Amino acid sequence: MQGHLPPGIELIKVDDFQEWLVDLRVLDSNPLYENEIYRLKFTFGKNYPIESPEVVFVKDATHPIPWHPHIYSNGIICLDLLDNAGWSPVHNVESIAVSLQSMLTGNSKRERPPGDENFVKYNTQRPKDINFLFHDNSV
Amino acid sequence: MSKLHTVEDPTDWLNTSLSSFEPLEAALRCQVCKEFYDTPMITTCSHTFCSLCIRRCFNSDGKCPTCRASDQADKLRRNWVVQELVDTFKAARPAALKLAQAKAGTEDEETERAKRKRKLDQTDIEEDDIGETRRPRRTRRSRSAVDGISQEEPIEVDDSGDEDYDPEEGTTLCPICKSRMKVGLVYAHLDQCDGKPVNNNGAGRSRVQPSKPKEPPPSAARLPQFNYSLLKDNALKKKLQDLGIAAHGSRALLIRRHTEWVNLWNSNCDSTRPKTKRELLRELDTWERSQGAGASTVPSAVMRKDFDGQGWAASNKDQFEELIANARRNRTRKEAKVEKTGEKPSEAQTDSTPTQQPEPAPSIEALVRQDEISKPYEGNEEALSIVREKVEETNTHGRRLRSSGQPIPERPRDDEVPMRTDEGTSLDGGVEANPPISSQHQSPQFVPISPNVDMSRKAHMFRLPEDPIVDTDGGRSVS
Repeated sequence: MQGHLPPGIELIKVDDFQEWLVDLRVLDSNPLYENEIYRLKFTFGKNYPIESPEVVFVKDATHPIPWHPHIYSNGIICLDLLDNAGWSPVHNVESIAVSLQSMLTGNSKRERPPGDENFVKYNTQRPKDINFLFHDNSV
Repeated sequence: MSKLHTVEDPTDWLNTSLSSFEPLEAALRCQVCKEFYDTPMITTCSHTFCSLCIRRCFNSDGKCPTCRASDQADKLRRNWVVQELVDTFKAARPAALKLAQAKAGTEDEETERAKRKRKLDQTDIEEDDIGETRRPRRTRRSRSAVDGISQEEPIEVDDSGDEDYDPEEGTTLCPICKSRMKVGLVYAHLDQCDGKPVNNNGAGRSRVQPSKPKEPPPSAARLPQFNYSLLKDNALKKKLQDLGIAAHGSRALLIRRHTEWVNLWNSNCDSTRPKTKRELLRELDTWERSQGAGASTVPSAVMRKDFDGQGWAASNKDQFEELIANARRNRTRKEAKVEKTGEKPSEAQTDSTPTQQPEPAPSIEALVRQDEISKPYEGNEEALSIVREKVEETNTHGRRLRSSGQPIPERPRDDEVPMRTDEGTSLDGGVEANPPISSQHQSPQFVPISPNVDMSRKAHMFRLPEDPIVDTDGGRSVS
């Protein structure tokens, strides 16, 4: 399975159909992400693929949360693809990972989304329940 | 890891001698469920999915998963070719994969070298003579297959079937009766196959046996989707019971169960090999256990025990505030309206009463009668009041006064009496003559009649049986 995944994407834990861990690297020489490996957690619901999986970056000793104006410091990603409105059942783990990879590649801002601190502090919702406003079409 | 490795998927071809089959197999799989197409259906935007998958997607958001074009389930059409491709490929897959994997290692390179050598060694004179472009390759392959090096034949979707060096090569199993036949023949066979397993494997083609039809498949009538919001709980339960599926649970669950059943049923209608209703019910039961009763729905998220009310309130604060503001605005508007209407009704009533009074809702009989009689004074208050006056006068004062209000008093009574009687007898004719007369003429015309009220009454006494109601009514209402 590993063999055909695009470069920079690596399956870490695929024990079942509930939760997968995937490592992501940005291949371009983007100074923001150079020499870092990010870990993604995919959580699949019962209605997958009709409904989108929950995808967040997880933070541990070796895996930071990447800087991005649409990625909160708790790992929650604001991407329409991952919202049920922007989701399409034809997507899969690979396509999501590639999307995120390209989203990082195209970024040059060392920023968090506005209101990150408050959000991280007070958010108790699951990522999928948050009503994101998708305003930025450049990513 | 082991659990996932038992799942067949296109990547099985990677690292085998047939790694180029990976995209081929991927193309034969539904993009939604990632399985081989099961009853492939094509959308109006020309994308193909399993019947059940695309029906579920349409239920979810009514859009094509690939291109997001809006579409509907009833516009789906079958895609037979894809079905054939999938069936053929599935039948050929295990053997081909086995062979491809077996040679994946060191042998693989040898094959390549051998092939290359052969290419160099051989001149393709015979093939060139034939003039086919594909032929040389195939010949070479089959030759190498004979050498036991490469055997790609079974996987080939288009089967020429002209070189059967191995009885098993180029043949496949009928998915229904499991009899072995040439790949190219399996579809012709499938059209007739009655599902009875045939023992004589070597026969190649199973005999069509007209005996014992299999359990009748569900009727091909597709089920309609309901507009659930128009159905009351009981009606919905009744519908589910009528369909023969479970009718317990919350309304939301009933709706979801019915939706799933309609999807299962309709996709089964699309299938070339329809399942029985019992099988479908079993599938519904599987759904029930995996996604039905257990699956959480949006409203239940709010009802969860660990539901964070404050978080919810905070995250939806804007919406709540807007709703409250709206409600307040509506209330003040309504109050203002009530005040206004509180004044209005009295006005309106006083306004409307005089106009409405002369036209009480007429019964059908009255309407018919009105059509029959002249309507010289209908809606003409002036004329009516004049008539009333005259009638009253004549009634109270007798004949004498009659002459006083007469614009045309010259008419001799003796002449009028027969006239009245005439009119009485031929009431209809007289009546019909009247309507065209404009209101200006009415009052002068009426005047000569009204003084005759007493006379006409006399005439009425005689004429009552003939056509009494019309005139007497008019006379009474006038008086």
